[in-house]
This record gives sequence, structure tokens and C-alpha cells, in this order.
Amino acid sequence: MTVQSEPQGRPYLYWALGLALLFHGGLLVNQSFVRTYDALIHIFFASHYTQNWFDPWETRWYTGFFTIAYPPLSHQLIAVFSFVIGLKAGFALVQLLAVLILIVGVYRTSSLLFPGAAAGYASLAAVISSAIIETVHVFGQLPTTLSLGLLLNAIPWVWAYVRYGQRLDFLRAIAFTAATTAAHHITTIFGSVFFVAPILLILWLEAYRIPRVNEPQRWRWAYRIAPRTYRALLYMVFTVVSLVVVILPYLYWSRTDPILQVPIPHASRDSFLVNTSAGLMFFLIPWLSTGGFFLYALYKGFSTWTFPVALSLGLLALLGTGGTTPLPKMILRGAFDILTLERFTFWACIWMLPFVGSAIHSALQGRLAVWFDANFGGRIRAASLVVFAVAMLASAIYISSLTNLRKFQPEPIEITPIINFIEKDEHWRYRYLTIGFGDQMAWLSANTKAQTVDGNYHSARRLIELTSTPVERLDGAKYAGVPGLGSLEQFVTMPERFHLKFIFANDAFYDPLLYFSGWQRLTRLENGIVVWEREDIAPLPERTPRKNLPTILAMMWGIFPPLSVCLVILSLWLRRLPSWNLARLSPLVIRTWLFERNPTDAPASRPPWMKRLPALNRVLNFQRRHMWVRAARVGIPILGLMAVLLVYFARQPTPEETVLRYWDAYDFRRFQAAYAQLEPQNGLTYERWLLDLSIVGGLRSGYAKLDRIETKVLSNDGTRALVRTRLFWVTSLFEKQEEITDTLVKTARGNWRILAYPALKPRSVERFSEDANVAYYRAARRLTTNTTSSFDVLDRPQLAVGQSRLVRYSLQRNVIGLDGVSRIIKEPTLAVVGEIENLDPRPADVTLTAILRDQNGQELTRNNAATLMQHKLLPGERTAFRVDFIGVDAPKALEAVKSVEIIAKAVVTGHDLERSLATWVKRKQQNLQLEVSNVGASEIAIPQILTVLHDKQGVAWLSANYLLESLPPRSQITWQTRLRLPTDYQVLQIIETRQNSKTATVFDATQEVIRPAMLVPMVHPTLRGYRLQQKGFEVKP
Amino acid sequence: MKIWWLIVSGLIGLVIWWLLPKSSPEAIQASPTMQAPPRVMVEELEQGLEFWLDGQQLPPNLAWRVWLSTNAGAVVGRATTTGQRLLVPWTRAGLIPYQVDVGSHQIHGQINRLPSKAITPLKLNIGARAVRVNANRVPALVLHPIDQQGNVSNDPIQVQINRPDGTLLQRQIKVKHLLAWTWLPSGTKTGLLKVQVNTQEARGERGEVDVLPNLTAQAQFQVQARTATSDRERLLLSLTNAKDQFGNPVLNGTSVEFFAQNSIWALFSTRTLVRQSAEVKLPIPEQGIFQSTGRIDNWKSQQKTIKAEPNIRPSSIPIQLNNQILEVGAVIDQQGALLDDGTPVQIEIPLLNNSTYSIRLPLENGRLQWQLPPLPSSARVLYVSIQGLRLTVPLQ
Repeated sequence: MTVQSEPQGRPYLYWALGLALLFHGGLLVNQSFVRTYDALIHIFFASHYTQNWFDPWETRWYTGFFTIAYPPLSHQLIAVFSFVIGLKAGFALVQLLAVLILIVGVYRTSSLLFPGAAAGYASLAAVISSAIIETVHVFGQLPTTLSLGLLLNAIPWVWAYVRYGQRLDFLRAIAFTAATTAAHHITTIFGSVFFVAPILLILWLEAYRIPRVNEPQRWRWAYRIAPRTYRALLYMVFTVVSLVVVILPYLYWSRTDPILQVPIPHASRDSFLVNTSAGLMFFLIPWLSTGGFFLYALYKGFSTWTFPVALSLGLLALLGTGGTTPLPKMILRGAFDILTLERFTFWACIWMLPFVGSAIHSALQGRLAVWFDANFGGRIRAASLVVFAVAMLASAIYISSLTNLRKFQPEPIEITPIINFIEKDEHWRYRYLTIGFGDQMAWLSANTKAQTVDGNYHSARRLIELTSTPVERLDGAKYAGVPGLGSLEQFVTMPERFHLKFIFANDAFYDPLLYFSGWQRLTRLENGIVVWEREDIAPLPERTPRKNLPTILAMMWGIFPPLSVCLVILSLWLRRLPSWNLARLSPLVIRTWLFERNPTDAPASRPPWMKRLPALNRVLNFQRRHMWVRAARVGIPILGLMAVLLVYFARQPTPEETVLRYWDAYDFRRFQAAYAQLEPQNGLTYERWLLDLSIVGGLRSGYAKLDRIETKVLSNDGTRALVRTRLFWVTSLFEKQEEITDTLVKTARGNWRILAYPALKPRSVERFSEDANVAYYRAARRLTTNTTSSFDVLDRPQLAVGQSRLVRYSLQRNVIGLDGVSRIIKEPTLAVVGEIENLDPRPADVTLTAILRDQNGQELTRNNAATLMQHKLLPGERTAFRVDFIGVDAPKALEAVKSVEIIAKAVVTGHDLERSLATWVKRKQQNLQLEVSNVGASEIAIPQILTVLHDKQGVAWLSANYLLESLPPRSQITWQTRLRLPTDYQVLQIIETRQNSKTATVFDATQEVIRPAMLVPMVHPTLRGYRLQQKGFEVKP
Repeated sequence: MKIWWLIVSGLIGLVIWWLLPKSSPEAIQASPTMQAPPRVMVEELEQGLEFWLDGQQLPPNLAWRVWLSTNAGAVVGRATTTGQRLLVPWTRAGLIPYQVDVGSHQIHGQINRLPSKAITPLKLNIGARAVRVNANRVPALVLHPIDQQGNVSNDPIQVQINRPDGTLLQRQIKVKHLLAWTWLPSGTKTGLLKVQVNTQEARGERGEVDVLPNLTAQAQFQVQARTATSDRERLLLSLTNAKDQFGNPVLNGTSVEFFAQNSIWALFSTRTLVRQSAEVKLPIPEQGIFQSTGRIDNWKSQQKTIKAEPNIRPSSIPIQLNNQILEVGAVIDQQGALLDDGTPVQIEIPLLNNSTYSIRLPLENGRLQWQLPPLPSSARVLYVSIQGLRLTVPLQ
């Protein structure tokens, strides 16, 4: 072992620490971490400890959760520092400390395996390690870095104790391990396997090779390793005890309140060959600075007695490949779907650092230098080292600024206007939701007492609406696809269940869902955030439900983790322990076997398999070659690489690739790249094309993302091609498939390009015309902190619910089976459909709830009408509605439903009452051709057409259509839709209306019912006619 | 070590002392000297009820107490015969049974405390706060005139109602079952109904009710009898002069529905009533005769006929297909003018599997020139549609 030469590396360590202070410290002081993934989450947890150190119940996320779901040390340290320097600076300080501890740990652990100078180079390599930079400055992970730093510093003490048996070393090893657990218990658990176990194995193998005095003839090997085994076991037992003691509250909580979360997809589990972005983030970038040394590390490891470390390194690297191969899943089994596998790559990269240090050391003054000089020449070696150093520095700078170059988070949001809004008029008495904030929602939460239904640490949440879907955060629901949007829709549809009244939106993608679900745009704050509001939501009760943890556990959580840090400091401060020689009390045979120390080094030798493998010396040539041979060895690979690149970039895309490139660029708003795929006709310049795009707004261009693109060449004569493209759009409202057929021509340069023409629109005959509308003013409430004066409360509008019905139908889903074949499965589903009218002279904002009950009248489930009704009704206006019971809202057994209750309530509103659409409909059997006109004076961004089918008893069914393009004033758009009842449609129950509204005041005694609708008659076995309702979402500045 | 024993012993002693039963303050020691029960006297004060004992030979320093049985639970007061009168701070009005324990005697009685005069401000509760004239949702006034102690006063309430039609109604209402209430008849004219209340000494703020028009009973529906099928010509449907049964103008913002249809096409549109009128103006897609109606509240118009004629004649659309190049135009309208630049020309070519290649191109100077894409052999015909007219062109 090489620890004796350790002091030789210290100058390099000091340089490394200085560089780390400059590089990492500079970035952290400039708060680069606000653009990372996790930093603000840790700051939020820290804000909890600043307010409630000993109460782990946190109400601001998920309607309440336990902070004991996350090991607290790093958060508590930030909290302590934040009392002096604030939360963000506190985070930067703790992260910087963690990085410095990590670098020291890399140095100290490396010095166990390689000479001190090599360990010094390893510490320098750690400063610019792409894995560390990515973890700190892109992922913003603090517990991972802090805990690994502590663990790497524990390992030398473990090594020293197991080897020499000093109790002070043992105390330090346990103190550091306990602190590791307090920072992140996963590091202790996996670190025991991948970091501590290899070191113990090396020590065992060393002990096996060192003869002891008075060795017995039998069990000689056991006699040799017995003392180290005993001490290793003692360490392991105390490690487990410290783990249990430090995080007992976490263990208790996870036992008594187990996580029922469905697996949340994480890109680190994807195949990096398919999901190349994940491959970049979780494989290429972490390995960028050290991956080139991988084979060297394996050779170096397996050719010496340090092979357990190489074995651990290989296994970690394999696990870090995620779903690229089936091996990680076979090894991890069920844990594969829970763990984020990028941490294995991170750990592998850390284990690489000692070998990198060794390689640099060798390349400067060892065998690698000799081999390089012999085969490529000294100048090439020097140049290679310089290029390597420059490349590493450049990659370090590139990765550290990755969050600026590629937007992982939305632009920084100034939260002060939001905080002011929350504080104003006691808005904190309602829950809120953020969308499009990314991880900045945690920073907002850290600065307010208001509560959100969402959160940013999904392991702690227990709301069924969240745990039943793979959405990580409602804030970014669109990234979880249809299930994620479905989860968000549940909160948006039934906000009163959660006292959710305000949504702060930083992403217009969700605007259509909010608008058509009855939410209204309240204001745009100074920071550009749009505040959405839902009317008729009750404020939070004075006391919200909470869970309790036994007081002793809450106290332990607040005391033991910081105590572990105190123990670390104390153990380092102590120079020696009192001399209690317990060994003397034990029987002689135990003393002989266990307590003997064998501090001598093992004789130099190589692992047995090296004798069977041809020595690398024979394979590698250390003889100096001729200059031409050396030049050829350098030149041929470079020329080969250039040739490959030339062939790749000179290739012309096919017509399909041209179309794909166009839509890909269009989807990501890379308009110049999109325009480059066009063959402009009739003088279509880039500026004109942009102008044409700008006037075609709407769902497609502003509120949708392309999920996938399919292309098919219909014909191709070599110069012109006809390509049909299927675009699969995802919006917050639905998934939409659009089919476009393009003509492509082959240009003189041999490129395929899409023919494109300038858009022309006929002039309107109305040059300047009026469109009268009604605006409403609602007087402000009397200024008081008491209950709102009755004079300030408006009557609830009078509603009439028409005949409604409970229907059963089949949802058809496309499912791909294990055999890879796509099948359509039918899923029986319930819905309540009917009609409601506003009888009041005031406009009404309607909330309609349907409750399904069993034969005993017990409620089975309830849901609100979401996008399938008009929530804002003019006086005298009516709307059909449909309440779906899908997903977690579906009753467990459809047969159990015996009765239905409909509750309609409303408040007076002055919002979103414009009616600017008129539609001509042409019916051909079941197909409808719609000519939708905007007869108002504002652009309709998203026109909604509700198609209502009537039979003899009333409304039979309702479906919605949303047009993909916006509709400027005085313009028309054509659309196609179908008239049909859903599959397996069956009326289960007709609900007779007994009174107007369950929540109407005592004065609502009218017996009016819905007036007959204007219907277009239909010839259909069951249906009597159909009618259309129209509503438009207008873009407001 | 001794100090620990001392501390532990002390703590144990404290616990035992704490657990030992104490003499209850309720345990009143009876004096053997008092033979006859005394008379209990009560007086109502602003601060509460004042009790004192009136009797001969009341022994000095004898503890006595009063139990009031109230709807908030028992209220207890204590005194001694040596002391002054006993004030029990109970100010709520109503019948209050009491019990006085003195010596070995228990004396029962009751007192009916009456509310005092109502004080300013009187707080009006009015609902509904917005009603239609002559509708069955009649507003009402509900009032709890409160006295200084928070009791509902029995003072009669004077109510003055100023209706929008100018009439003044005055009523006196009595407090019954702790509240005073009355209907507020709104009349047949729209406007603000004002309510004032007062008692002899107290007044309240003015209350208001918005009296709004009733459902529509009369209106006028008009249409443009003849129109042309063009993107630029617009059909006008309007509903005006909407009034309720009493001639009040119907409320702004009321929903108005317009509807038109023939055997092929149907129109749906909802607009907002502004100053008694609403209209919809839009192009008509095809020639033909349409029946139209308008609806507001319960009122539905008679059907009115619209005749739509084509803006261009089929014979005025020259179309040629030469060498895979389609040439359309120049297209002129009924008046002999070129169709507007940008007028869409829809071209559709049916392909295999019920799919259609379609493209919408604009006219420029009344003309269009377009090179056909390479089409599969299954394509046989193309359709050209301009302003509701559809022409068929066979593919060569």
C-alpha cells in the first residue's frame, strides 16, 4: 500500500482546493445553481428547518407532508447558515464545502491505492471532473456531493482502523459514516457496497498475503485475516447502528406510510441509443473527462491487488448505462424503476479519479511516458498532454455553463410580484399552483406561507391524484405526456377539493385547459406571470388536517443529524483516546486470533491470473520506432476520422428527412432552419414567411408540441415528390393527429425542398366596424379584516338543470401488447350528461358536480364537468355538460352505482363572456363540415365547438372539437368532425330534475325548466337532432 | 449521590401532593346556626344580575353562591354574608333559572331579563339583492335589532321602501322569534329599490335591491332577404327592441341565439344583447333558400326567409390543365370585377384509401397557376372550389 508516500501529493491537493475555490466557488457565488434541477428544492427544505426545526410536518407542499422523507443534514446546514447570510448564499456555502470535502476525499482515498503524487493529480482531476461539475452545476445535487465527500473521507479511517486497529480511527470512521447517512442514506447503503467493500476486500487480500507469527497449520488463511475481519465486522455493525439511529424517523415513516407511487419515468433508465439526449446528459457528459481512461483503469486495476476497486468501477459503469442494455434491470430488479441510475455513473466517475491520477502520473514520469515516447515521440506526448489539459478545461467550462447554453429551466422568475399578490387580500388563505416554473416553484414556496397542491419531492407525496400517475410535478405535467396532463386535469377540474383558487402560469401551453375548464385570467403580474383564478372556492380552514410523528422521533430528527457533524469535528479534534485495553479482558485465544495487529505491508506480488495472461510488456512495445512509423500512427487515425465526418456531412437528405427536419425545426421555433427546408415560390422571402406564420396563431403554433411525425412518400419521379406527413400534436386538451401533403422538388444542388407559397387573404369589406359588447364592473369590497359585509355579497345566480342521465360507454384505447402488436381495448366508463341554463339576469360562473352513490346512498365518487361545458353563462344561456368518471375518479365497480346526484352552483361573474363565433354546418350522414366564422372584433386563439346530440328525452351526448388555427376577426375556417354516439352507448338512468339548484337560496322557488333547444333534425334510429355550442379563447395582452 | 436522592425524593413528594384529593371549593361548610332560609333578591343591571340575601340572623362570613342556568352552561358566582352584593356578569336576555346555595339551604327561582333599546347601527340583511320585476324571487329584509348587551331588542322597526317606480311604502314590523322581516315588493319598473330602517333611537345604513327587467316578451327579428355567396359579402341577422312584459328594456348581456337552415346547411350563433339589440354578420357558404329565427329568453321569432345567390357564374371560371399545369382565371364576379386577391381556391385530388390530396391556394389578379405534384396512378380527377362553386377537371 502506498499511503506512506501520501505527503508527496499534498501540494497538488492544495492547488486543487485553491482551484476549486476559484472555479466552483465563483460559479456558486454567482448563483448559477438557480438554473439547476435540484438546488432550489434543497433550499425549500432548508427554509422548513429555519421555521420548524423540530416539527417535520410541512404544509406548503402536497397539502402537507413529512420532511423526514429526505435526509436532513445538508438542509439543516443551509438553515443554520441562512440565519446569517440567507438561504441562497447558505446553499452556495454548503455546496462549496461539500465540493472541497469531496476533493479532499478523492485525494485521501486515492492515496490508499496509488502514490501520493498520483493522488494529488486525482484531486486536480476532481476539480474539473465533468461528473462533479454536472452534478453540482447542472443537477444542483447537494446531498449527493456532501454525502459522498464524507464517505470518501470515512474510507481512509476505515482502512486505517481495519489495518491498524486504532480506536480513534474507528471513532472517526463511524463519525464520518454517520454524517454520510445524515446527508444521504442511499450513499451509505450503496457506498458500503461499491466503495467500502472493495477497500475491505483489498485489506483482506493483503492480510492473506502477510504471514503472522505462530500461524496454525490448519486455517492459516483464516488466522491471517481474522483480526481485520473482526474489525471490519465491528465497523459494519456500528455503521448499521449509526444508520438506524440517525435516520430512525425516516425508517419509521417509510414503514408506517409506505410509498404507493407508480413508477415515474426517468431518462437515466432509458436506452441511451434511443434517447440520445439522455445519453448526452447521463453518459457522455459525466464520462467526458475520465471516460478515455476507462480501459487503462480496468487494466491497472485488474493487474494489481486493487482489482476490487476496478470490479466496483466496472459494475457501477454498467449500472449507469440505464436501459441501454438489459443487464442493469436484471441486476437491480424492482429497484431499477425506483432509482435514478445517473448516480451510478457519478460514483463510477469518482472511482475513475484515482486511476486518472495514476495515468497522469505515469504519463508524466512513468511507464506510460516511456511507451508514448517510443511509439509516438516525446513532442506528441507533450502535445497530447497539453491538448488533454486544454480539452478538460474547455469541457469543464462548457459543462459548467450548460444551464445557460441549453435551457433546462425556464428563465429566472422574479418572485416578488407573486409574493405581493399572495400577501394581498389574504390570498394565502387559498392554495395555489404553479405551472411552467420548473424548479423555481420551490424557491417561491420557500418564500411564502401559502400552500400549493404540487411539490417538488415526489417521494413524500400521498395524494392519490398524484401517486397514481407518473407525473413528477404538476408544474411540468406536459413532460409526462397524457398521464401527466390527466393528473393536472384532475386538480383543475375539482379545485374546490383542494381549496385551489390561484394558478400562476409561466407557460401558455396550459392556457386552453385552464380556460375551457372554467378558470379565468385575473391579471398579468409585473414579472409576466399570468394569474388564473377559479371562482367559488372556499378558503382553507383555520386548521388543516395533519399527521403526527411521535415526539421522540421528531426530536431525534432535529438533533442526531447535526450531532453527527459535531461528532466528526470532535473526532478530528481529538488526538488520542483514553487507553482502555479491553483486549486484556478477553480470553487468550480470542486475543491471539482477533486483537493482533499486523501493520506491515504485504510482499509485492500480482494477482494469480496475471501469470496466465500474456504480460502487457510483451504486447506493448517500449522500443523506439522509426520516425515514419510514429508519424503514420498519428496521421492515419486523424485522416480516417476526417474522412468519416466528410462522408457523413456530404450526404443529402431524402424527401422524408427534409419534411422531418422542417417540422422538427418548426416545433422548436428554429425558424431559420425550418425556412431552409423550403423552396419559396412567388417571391416568398424569409420575412414574408415569418409574417405569414405570425398571422396563423392558435393551438398548433402556440399551445401544442409535436409528439411524433410519420411520413410517407406517395410518389417520387426523381425531381418532384409528394409526401404525406402525419403530425401527432399534444396539447393540454387532447392529442390531435393532423395530416398534411406536401410537394417537394429537387433543387439544382441536389437537395429536396418543400414548395411553399405566400399566404394571401381576401380583404374584408368592413374597413372599420364596431362590435358592441358588455363589460361588467364589480364594486370592491368594503375595507375590513372582518367577515365580508352582506352588502358586498352578490346573490348566487339562479340555475335550472334540465333532464340529465347517467350513461355507460366504452373508451377505446390503443394498447401495444407484449408481442408488439397494437390492439384496441374497450374500457367501460360512466358519464353524466345533461343540460343547464342560467335563469338569472346576471352572468353566472357555474360549477357542476355529479356524485355517484351506491344502493345505501354512500358516495362512491364525484367529479366536476371540466372542458365539456361552458362554465361562464350569459343570462338566459344554456349549455350541455358531460361529467366523465375516468382514472382515479372512476368508481371501483361500475355495477355498484345505483343513483346519481347533480349539484350545480354558481357565482356572478363578469369574465370571459364574449360570444364571437358563428358556425355554418353541412351534414353528410355522420360527417359534419363546419365553416366557423369570427363575427367579433378580437382574434379567437382557440375556437371550441361543442356538438350536442339530442334524443327524445333530452341531451344524449356531448363532444368537443378544438380548431388548430386561430381565427382573426371577420375570417372563416373550415373544419371536419363527426356526429356519433360513443361505442357501446347505454343509458343507465334518467335523472329527473326536482329543483333548480341545490345551492340556490330560499327565494329560488321557480319551477322553470330548460326551454327546448334549437335543433337540426336528424334521421337516426335514436337521435332526434343535434346543435352546436361555440366558445372562443381570446388572447389577451 | 446524596443530592440526587434529595431531588428524586422531592419530585416524588411533589407528585404525591399533586395527586392527593384537595378540598373542593364547592364544598361549602354549612353553618349550624342558620335555621330559616333567607330571601333572595335580584336586580337587573347593565353589567349583569345583582343578587343579595335578605333575612334575619344571617351568620357572618357564611359562604353562599348562585348558579345561573343559561344556554351557555352554568354561570356561578360566590360571596360571603359579610361581603356586599354579588354581581353575576350575565347580560343576555331571556328566562334565567337560578339556584342559590346558602348554608344547608337551596333556594330556586327564575328571572326574565328583557332586552333593552336597539342601538345604532341596525344591520340590514337583504336577499335577494338583484331580482327581476314581478318575478317569483321576491327580495326580503331580515333584521336583528341589537341592544347594548347584544340581545335582540323588541323595539318595532319602521321600514321605508322607495321603489324604482317612485312609490314609497312604509311599514312597521315587529320582532318575532328574535328577528324582524318583511318582503320588499319590487314593482314593475327597473332601477334601484332603496330600503331604510329605524327604531325610536337607532338607525341603519340604506339597503338596496337591483330591480332588473323580466324575461323578454317582445322583440323584432330582421334578416337580409337576399345575399350573395362570397367571402366578402355578409349576411346580416339581427334582433332588436327586446323588452319584457312591462316594456322595460331587456338587460344588457342577455344571450341571443341566431339559427338558420336549409336541407343541407345550418347556422348556429350566440351573441350578446347590447342596448336591446344583437346581430350576427357573416358570409353564407352556398346558394339556396334558408329559414332563419332568433331567440332570446322564452321569446322566439317567426321564421324569416333568406335567399342566397352565387357571386360568380360557373361559366365565368376558365380552367385549363396543360402539361400538368393547372390554370384558373381570370375569375370575375356578377358585377364584372376580378375576385379579390387572396380569394381561396380549394383544389382536391382523391387518392387511394379514401385519402385526398388537398391544397388551398389564393387567387392573384383573379388568376391561379399551379403545377400538379407527381400523383399516383390512382388519381383520376381533381376538384376546384371557389366561393361555393365546385368544378370537376379530369386528369390527363
